Order: sequence, then C-alpha cells, then structure tokens
Amino acid sequence: MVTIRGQSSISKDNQPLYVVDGVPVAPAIQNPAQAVDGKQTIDYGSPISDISADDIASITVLKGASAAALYGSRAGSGVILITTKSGAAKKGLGVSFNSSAVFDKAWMFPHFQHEYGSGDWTGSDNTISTGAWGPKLNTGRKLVQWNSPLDENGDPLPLDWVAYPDRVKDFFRTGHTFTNNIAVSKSTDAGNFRLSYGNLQNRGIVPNTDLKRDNLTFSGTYHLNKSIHLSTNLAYTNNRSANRPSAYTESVTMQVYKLTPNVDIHALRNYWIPGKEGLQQYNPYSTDDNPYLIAYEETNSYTRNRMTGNVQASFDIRPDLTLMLRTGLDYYALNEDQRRPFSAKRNPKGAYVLENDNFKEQNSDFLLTYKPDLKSDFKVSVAVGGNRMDQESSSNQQSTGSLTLPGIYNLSNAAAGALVNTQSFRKKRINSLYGIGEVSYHNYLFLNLTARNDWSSTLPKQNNSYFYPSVSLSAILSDMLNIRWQDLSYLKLRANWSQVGADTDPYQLYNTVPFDTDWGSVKRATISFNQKNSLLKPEIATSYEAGADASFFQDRVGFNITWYKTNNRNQIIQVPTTIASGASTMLINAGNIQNSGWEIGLNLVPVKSQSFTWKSDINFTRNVNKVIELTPAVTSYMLGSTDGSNIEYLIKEGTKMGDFYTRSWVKVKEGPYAGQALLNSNGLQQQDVDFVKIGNYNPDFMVGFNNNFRYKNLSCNFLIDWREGGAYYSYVAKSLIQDGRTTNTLRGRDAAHGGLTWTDANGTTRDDGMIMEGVIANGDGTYKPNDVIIDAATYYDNKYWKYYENETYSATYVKLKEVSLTYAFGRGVMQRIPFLSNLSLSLIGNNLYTWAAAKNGYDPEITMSLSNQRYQGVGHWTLPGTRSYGAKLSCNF
Amino acid sequence: MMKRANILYSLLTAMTLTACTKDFDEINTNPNSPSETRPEYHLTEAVTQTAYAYAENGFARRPAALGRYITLIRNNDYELFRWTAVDWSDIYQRAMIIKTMQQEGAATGQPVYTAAGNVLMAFNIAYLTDLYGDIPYSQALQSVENGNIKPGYDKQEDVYKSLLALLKEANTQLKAGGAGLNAGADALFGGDLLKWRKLANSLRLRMLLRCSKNYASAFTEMQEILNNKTEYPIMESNADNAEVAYLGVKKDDSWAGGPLNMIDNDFLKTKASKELVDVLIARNDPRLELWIAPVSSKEGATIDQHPYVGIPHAYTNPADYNGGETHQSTLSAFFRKDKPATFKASLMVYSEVCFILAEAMQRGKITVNGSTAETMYNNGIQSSMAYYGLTDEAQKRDYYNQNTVKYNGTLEQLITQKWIAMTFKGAEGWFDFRRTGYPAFVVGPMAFQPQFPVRYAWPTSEQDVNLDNYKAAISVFGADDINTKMWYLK
Repeated sequence: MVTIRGQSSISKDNQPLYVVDGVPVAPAIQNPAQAVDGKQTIDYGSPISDISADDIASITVLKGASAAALYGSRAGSGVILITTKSGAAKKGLGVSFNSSAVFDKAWMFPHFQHEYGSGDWTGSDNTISTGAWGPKLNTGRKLVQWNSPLDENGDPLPLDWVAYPDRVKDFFRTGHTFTNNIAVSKSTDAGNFRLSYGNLQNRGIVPNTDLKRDNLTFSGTYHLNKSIHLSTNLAYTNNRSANRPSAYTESVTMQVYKLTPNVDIHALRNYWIPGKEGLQQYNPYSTDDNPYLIAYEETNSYTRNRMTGNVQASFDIRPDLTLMLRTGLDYYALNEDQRRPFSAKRNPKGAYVLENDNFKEQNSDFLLTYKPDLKSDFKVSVAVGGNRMDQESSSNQQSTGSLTLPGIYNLSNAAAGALVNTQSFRKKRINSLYGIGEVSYHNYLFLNLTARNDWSSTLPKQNNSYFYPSVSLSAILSDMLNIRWQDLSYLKLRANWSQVGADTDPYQLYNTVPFDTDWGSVKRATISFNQKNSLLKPEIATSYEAGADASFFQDRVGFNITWYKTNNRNQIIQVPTTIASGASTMLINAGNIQNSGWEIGLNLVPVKSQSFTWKSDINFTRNVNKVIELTPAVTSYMLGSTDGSNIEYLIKEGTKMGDFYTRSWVKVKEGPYAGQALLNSNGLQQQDVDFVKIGNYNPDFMVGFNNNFRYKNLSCNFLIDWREGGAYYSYVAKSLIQDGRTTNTLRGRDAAHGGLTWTDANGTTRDDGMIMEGVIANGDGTYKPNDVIIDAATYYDNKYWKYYENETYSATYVKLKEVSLTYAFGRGVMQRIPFLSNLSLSLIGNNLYTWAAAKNGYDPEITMSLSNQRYQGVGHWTLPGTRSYGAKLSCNF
Repeated sequence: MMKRANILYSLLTAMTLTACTKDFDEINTNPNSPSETRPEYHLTEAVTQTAYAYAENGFARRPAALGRYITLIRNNDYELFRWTAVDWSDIYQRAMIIKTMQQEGAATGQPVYTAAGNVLMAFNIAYLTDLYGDIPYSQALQSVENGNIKPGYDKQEDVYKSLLALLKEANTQLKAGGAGLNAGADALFGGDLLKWRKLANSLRLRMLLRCSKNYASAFTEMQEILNNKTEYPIMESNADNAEVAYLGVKKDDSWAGGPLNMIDNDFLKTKASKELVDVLIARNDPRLELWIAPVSSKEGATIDQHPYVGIPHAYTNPADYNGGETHQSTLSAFFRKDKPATFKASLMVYSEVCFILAEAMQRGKITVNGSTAETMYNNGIQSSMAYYGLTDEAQKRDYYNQNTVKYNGTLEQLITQKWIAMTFKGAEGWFDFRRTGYPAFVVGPMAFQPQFPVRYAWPTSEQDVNLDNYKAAISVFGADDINTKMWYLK
C-alpha cells in the first residue's frame, strides 16, 4: 500500500494511479478477500505485482497532481509511471538472463511465555483450556492434558507437564522465491523488439502455501517510414497459487500463536483423528482449528490470468506537428477457490466457494502535438488530446456453507438448498478532452498550462461535466541570472497550482431493491439502507506546490525541497445518519480535507575517486493532515471501526484523519486522587461511555537513507527506512495477554512473581492475588486506595481486554530494508568468455533487521500493511516478521 | 493565467462531446437489482428476519442472560452488566423494510400488506421501546419520503398508545380482508388472516399488561377485547402460535444454537443458568431433561453432586465452578440442532396469553367467560408441556399436583411458571422480572453494579448523528444509562 502526500479522500482509497507504458492499469489495491468462514481474510495480491521486476526499465513517481491533465482524476493521488524494457536500448541482438534465489525465515515473534501451561489459574483443575494461566511447567509433575491417553476405565492419564518453547518457531518453515527471466531483444534502423519470459516460484513460510507466476511480454516498435511509427507492448501473466496463507482472526498465525506452552506442535502434524480422516480433526482445544488443518485443508487457491497491452501509431505530419493514436487494454480474470473441510470450526459440514471476477479497462487516446520553431528565444509547444476510458467488471460467486459428502469440492456436492449465488456487474465511462501548453524562454524560464474536461457516466446529467486546469512556472536561476559561483552549479525554483476533479462509483444516483437469499424456495428482497443521491456534483481538489532544486561542488551535493498544500473539497461521501430515519447513511458532497507538507532530498557523493565512490541519498517527507470542514449534518464521521466497534476511526472538524478513538476507564475527576482509575467495589476498572482519542496511525515523518559504495568491480548498497511517530493498536497483543500467553502476563501469577496470598470464592487459598491500580469510592464523595485482591487472570482481563489504549503502541521503527553486494566481472574475465558481455553476481538481503520503538515483537510495517485501505493502524494476525537472504545472477549474451 | 485557461476551455468545449454522453444513462443504470419489487418479497423478509432475530435475542443475548436462562462462562459481559447498545439498528432496519412493503402493497392495490405490516411494525417497535424506553417513532423512517434525517424522540407513553391503536386498527383492516396475503410468502401463518388478527389482539394483551401500572385504561381495554371474541379474536391454542419454522439449510434460516450459527466452543461456554436449573429440579420438571444436558462427570464435583448443575452468574473463574467444566451443565442436544424438533422462532405463543390472562384475573382486574386465574395458569403450563411433547410425561410425574406447582394464587408462583414457559421465547423473562420482581434473581458477585439493568443505553452513535434530539430525549426521559426506569416501570 502506497500513500503519497497523505490521505485526502474520505471515501476513496488514496492510492496512486499506476501507468504502464503510458496506459493506466487496474487499481493497485485489492482489498483482501473475506474467507467463507467470515473470519479469515485472504490477500490475492495486487494486480500490479503481475509485472515482473526484470521487465521494468524505470519507475518514476509523480507526487503532485501535475499529471492529472494527462491521466485524469485518478492521478490526483499521484502517479507511478512504469516504463517497461524495450529493444531500443542496444543495437543488434541481445540476450539477457537474470536468475535469483531468495530465502525467507521468520524471526520476529511476540514474546511468548513458557513458564505456565493450560488452565484458568495456577491451581486449576481444568488443564485442558485455551487459557495459559495454568500450573507451572517443568516442575516434574504429570497432569491431565489435551492429548492424555485414556486408561481402561476411560479416564485420562496424566502426562509430563513440560513446556515446548519452540512450538511457534517450529511451525514456520524456510520459504524461498526463485526467479528466472530471459529476454531477447533486437534493434535495427527499421525498429526494435523485445521478447521476454519470466518465471517465479515461491514457497511460503507457512506449510503448503505457494505462489507461482509466468510472464510473457513482447514490446516492439516499427518505423513504417520516416514519419509513421507503430509500436506495441503486450504482456500476459499467469499468477496462481494452490494455497495462500490467510490472515486475521482464526488464521494459521492466530492458531499457532495461541497454542498454550504445554502443546507440542509436532504432535499436531497429523491433523485427523485416526480412523476419522476427512471427518474429524485432531485439535488441542475444541475452540480452535488445528493450524496444520488450516494449512493443508482450508485452502484458498486462485489463478489470475491477465493481459495488458497497447498499440500505438504516431504520425509525424510535419516536422512540428505529430499525432499519436493509441488504445490500451487491461484485462484480467481472477478465479478463486476456497475449501473448508468437515469439522472446521466455522464450517462443521465443510464449505466451498467458487468466485470468478473479471475486470477490463480500455483507454483510447489521441494526442496532437505542435512544436513550432519560432526562431526566437521563445519556444512553444501545444498539445491537444482526448481519452475515452471504459471500465467493466463483473463478479460471480457461488458458495455453500455445508457439503453433503466430505472432501468433494464441487458445487453439486452442496447440501440441498444451501447453494448461494451472488453476482454483480459494473460499468463506467469517462470521456475527456485536454490541452497542454508550454512556453519557455532561453531554456531557463518555463510556463506550463494544462486543462482537462471530463464527462463521467457516474454523475447526474446536469453535473457530469467538470473542468480542471493547472499552471506551473519554473526558472533555472543559475542560468537566468548567470550565477557561476564556485560552489553552486545549478539552482531552480518552481511553483505550481492545479485542480483535479473527480467522479464517483457507478450506480450512486438512485436506490435499487436488492434481493436477499431465498428462504427455502421463497423469494426475499431487502432494501438498501444507504441512501443514494441524484444531485451529486464532482469532487474538486486544489493544490499548491513550490520548491527548489540545487546542486553544489560539481554536483557532489544535491539538494531539493518541496512544499505543498492540497485541499480536497466537495468529496462524495456517505455521511452517517441515524438508522431511526430509515437509512444509515446518505450520500452527499461535503468536506474539505487538507494535506500539507515538506519533501526534502539530499544527494551526496562524499567520496569520488577512480576506484572508490560513495553515494548517499537521504529523503525526508512530512505530511500534516487537517480536517478543515466536514458537513453540518454530522459532528463526527466514522471512517470505519475495528474490534467490534470498540475502536473507531473518527474524523471531526479540526482533527486529523488517522485519529482513532476508544472508550477509556472511569477516572476520578478532582481532588487528591484526580486522574486515578475509579474502580468499582470489586476493585475492577469500569469502562467510560465516551470515546477518547488514543492515537493517530499516520507517521510524523519518514526518512529513507540509501547508500552505495563502489570499489572497483564491487559495489555495496544498503537502504534504511525510518518511520517516526504514529501509533497502532494490536489486536494480537490484546488476545495474547487475555489468555496469558506472553511474558507481560507473568507478574503476580505466584508468590515467586509477586503474587499476593488471598482466598477465593470457593474458599481456596491462592498466591496469585493482584490489586488493580486505582481507588474505590467511599460513598461520601471521598476515595480510598484499592485494596481488593483479585486473581492474576482477572487482573489482566480487566486491565487489557476492554481498554484498547493499553495495547496501543508506537509505530516508530528503523528498518534495514535492503542490503546488496554486487560483483560485476571485469573485462579481463569477460574476454575469456567470448559470448558473454555483462556478468554480475549479487548477494542480497531484505528486511535483515527491524528496530521497533515498542519493542514488543511486532513489526509495525507488516502489522499495519494488511489493514483496510481507508484506515490503517490495526495490528492483526499477520505472518511474523521475516528476513530474506539470497543471490542474484545477471548476464547478457 | 485564468483567462488563458478560459480560452482553452471554450476551445475544448467547442469540440462538442454531446454525442459521446448519450449512452451515459444506460451505462449508469444498475443492472444488479430492480428499482422496485413486489410486497410479498418484503413480507417474507420482514417476517423471517423479525422472528429469527427475536428468537436469537432470547437465546444467546442479554435478555437470555438477564432472564437467567443461560450463564456465559467466557466473554461474560452480559453477566457483568458491562452492556452496550444493540438491536437498535436491526429493529429500525426491519421497520423500514416493513414500511417499504406497506408502500408497495398500497401502490399495487393490496391493502392487506398494510394491515399485516401494521402488526409487524407494532411488534418490532414495541420490542424496541421495551428495550430502550423513549425512542424516535412518530418522525422516524422518513429519510426517503421527506429527507428528515434527525427524527425526534417520542415518549414511551405516546409510543405505546400509538402502537396499541395501530394494532386495533390492524385487527379491523385484517377483518376487512381484501386481496389476501400471498400464502407462500407468509412464513408466519400461510396467509391465514384470522391468525394475524389473533396475533394483533394477543400482542395488545401483552402490551396492556406490561404498561398496566401507569396506563389507566389498560384493563378496560383488555376487557373490551375479551368481551368480544368475534371482533377481537385472540390465541386459543398452540395452533395459533405466531412462529416461523427453522429450515436448517443455511445460516440465515437456522436456529441460533445449531452448528451453522454457533461454533462448538461458544455452545460449550453457554451453560445453563443455576437459577433455571434449580427451579426445574425443585419441581421435577420434565422440561429439565429435554433442555439441559447432564454433567459429563459427577465424580470430583466440589459443590453440587446433582447430575444437572446450573452455573451461578458473574462468578470469579466461572469455568472452575464446581471443580471445572466437566461438572457443569450445558444446554442439551435439543438446542444443538440447526432445525430443532418442534421448536420454532416465536413472536408470541399461546402459553404466554394464558399467563397474561391468569395474572390479570388473579389481580381481579378482568373476567374471562368460563375461565378463572387457576384454569388459565394451568392452561399456560399445559400448553408449554404440549409444545415440547411432554404432556404425558408431566402427567406421569404428577407434575400439576405438587405443592410448588398447584395453583396457590401468588404472583410469584404464576410468574415463575410463566418464566419457565417463556424460556428462549423472546425477552419476556427479563421484562416480567423488571415489572414484577419475580422470580427473585440474584446479582452475581463480580457484576459491575449491585442492581439489575432495566434498559439498554441509546447507541453512542446517536450523539454523533442526532445530538440535539438525543439531548432533548435525556431532558425528558432522564439519564441515558442502564438503570433509568422507563415510563411503565415507574
């Protein structure tokens, strides 16, 4: 997930537009799909990952809205321009081959405790429990436990009560990714082409998970004559997996992390009860699926077949006039297949889902460019273009929540009447006309003007046309004022003002009546509680940007700085209304969200000599978000919520997007105990009614630090990412504390850990007493310090389960993102291998080390990456932090 | 600069694109669902959603825990009275579906959908005000027709009077008949309008008794119904029960306790309440063995050696009670089915009508031709036994002649039997306890407050989207917390 210059849209995904070889492609974001059990989610990968890295020549990030005239509304959140390799680079025939092998190893885990086993408290009789509050382990005792065999009377036999500290680590295996790519290219005077085939084979760190990809690409240019040029880029990708690991609740990660310390993971490997294969799983606790059952039987497979391509003709009508005609297509078909076996927790009778999604976007353009030679100090260029975008998608899902026979994954095996069909179609068209004009004076003063008008099918007739212009001015002062200081070689100032209009999704104008599932053989219809609006207007965003670029000391020091401010107004958002009105939301134009910030770059060459060079780049970005205006209709707008609506992402006028709120505990308001927790008479925290802000998931700033050292043929590169500020709430931390699985729940469990002696309601004397921090009301307006002793498990439950700020952590981290060491074989070696031109060998390492400010065993980046696109900052059951190491070989023939 | 842009703009628009937008209407017409449908589709929706949700509430939610039918030994916020607002959205959504159905009925000349809709509307809104007290009603559900997205709150007293009138009107409308309800779509009564009328009038009895403390003409209106059976038919046997069967095929047509809707662990952590089990044991009630599972092992039980052990509420480490979960009773296999035998999702059953009449007669407020409080009390118990196929078993055990069961004219005895009969049949157990104090439930030691909640707090979202009316409602109703008494409880 990439967010450039902050979140500005309340209802859209704030993701940049991906443009490949001049043509926009499918949205980069695909929300993880909800699995059939309604709990796990599956990430089928973003369609942008269908492009092989070996086919990419360059990636350019356009941060501002400047490209909107060319690419339309979607460029308002920035553009990622990808240019694929062509055959033009090199004369003659060339063959290049790249091969890499990278290995992944999980290393960053929550801090699990291995001292106490299954049970509700240290003296618990119930030692077959999902709670890890039970008796102390490794004391030489034998206790009845989850896998106790039965004696002749049918009573379970006690087994050694010991810890298995490697239970989590041993589940994950070493993953690997092997990538191979071969490309042939040829360039002649008449044209050039490039053909490439790439193959990727990945084995995941979760058993039985994988990813495979095959790419075929062709790009070619042919000069029909001196003035007519034809070119094309075609790519086919087959992306598939027999099983993707799931994330979130009830995923494999959760089930492994939740094993109590007395469970030997290896004992779970045979996940069927002998004699009941396919019917009844073997699991430690009936609460949870065996993680191996999830890995091997609860599969989520998919295939995505994708074609992208464009054909382009350009005509040099006169030396100063060219016409470009192009049509580009992006099409994919995604087939998903989810299986759940009999005895799966959520689907005791198994389940099966088959889904086919199709997506097609076609962009047809013309662009007429006029560059007259004015034979003066002025240069002018004018271009007029047009675009038609057609988007069509469909989704067709058949599912059953129960099967007739186990193990037969075929829709005809659905339990009678239990097959559910859902289908949807979407269509949208935008017509656009645009113009771009550029005037320059002496090659040091530049004025750019753009204008675009869109007509969108999604808006009501009277409002479906919208216009957005931009103006940019830049001056290379060093040339203009002829500054030739010893140390300054280049100085440029630039400023830009632009607007971007935007439409909405299809079918937002009038409500329709959706069918519900059939009740037996009787038809049912429901209604939509989201009220649509036939008077919608286009959204409009206005941006200002100013900056400077400079270099000093013969380009040994480069510096650039940009300031920007964007106001996104008239957003089309669903504002919440009280359901008592008959609708829970209403679609309206409202809001003004502002993002402003700084981007600073420093490019240094501290050492430069014949044999040794050190280059260093530092990038700093800081974005500040502000909700200037919402709508008079509501005082706060909920972007979303998580964890059963106990955490809400609210925006209110004057606050920042990314703020999250929860209910805190009741506190004493005034007097000597002011601020302390006001406990109830049982000595427990009480939940307050109001939601208070506990954090914001956006960073204060980000820094990228890239270094390159080259010594003769050997070069070394490393990239460090630093994210400062922001917070995330960890559902995982909360769940692990609740069941006593992590080291931060050891205090107070027995006398050795500081537990107090007390007597419980059953009259048992125990040594796991704790006292909640806070005071108790005396009833006369005064308070006394709490002295009620409660057991450790109750203490942690009361302290953490409902009080989300106690599991909200700093998202600051510093990460060694990439390290590579490359040896390019020298001319001496190459001459001995006549057919080989370039040969290089690299050792690579990714994500080798992460330092997280919270020091709690979670990688904030991974933790936050799978969240919903519009609100982030929830740590959920994702795979553990992984280190990757490998090698890459590149050569040309 | 802007001038230049304007010139460019006029240039661009000069190249007219009118021809290119002519398909836009067609492109932007939603192909996935129609703009209008028939009322019977919404009738089935409203009836099934209402009945299933109401039954689920009475089995697995706060009304079941506070009605002392179940004890949750994990995630036991219900037990602790750590309550948040629920059911508000669902009920208004159902009400809006009902309103849509009524409009479709009116548009197609089928007033019978308006009539049946009034019964369903009254049922849903009455449940809502029973849970919350004052609620938006007279200005509610108007977002589509007049754009009112901030409906004010009505006093419960006004809502109740209005709903009672609505039910009376529905009875008249249903009598007039007209084009009948689509029998296949009517999941409640298969198009039998007489049964719809019996439900309408029986619901009036339920509501009148509920508000009788503060509604002066409650018993007069009750008597008016009972005096004229032709004009105001009421439920007279289990055949008149307002119930929707479970199909047991998909989640949304299956019983809340079956495997399709409840995972094993949640069912295992839903124990039988000690208060229910003890009362059933004390009466040798045959419903005990049908509803409750015996403990898996009596050996090692630390407190209670009985084969059926209910769990006290809001306890420390409830899973350890009586020496662990093997010595605790869960609900029986009867409730572990997607489609339980003889058990349906009930809006109201005949047994409840019997107890309502018995109570009103016992208090000397009404008379029913040919009946006494005692006969009605016995009818109430017998129809519950019959519902579960236990008529013979109850006779065999001489159930009715026990001291505890034989009619003694006390409200406690009457409400206790009603409470047993209403097990997992909606929220009557809690509502009767709230009204009468019977049976005398016990607050658990770990509960967050020493008294039983009497309502849900309004959803916090009301403060965001309907703040002025929310504040106005507090000034009329009183503090928005779970202990504020609503009009008819004052």
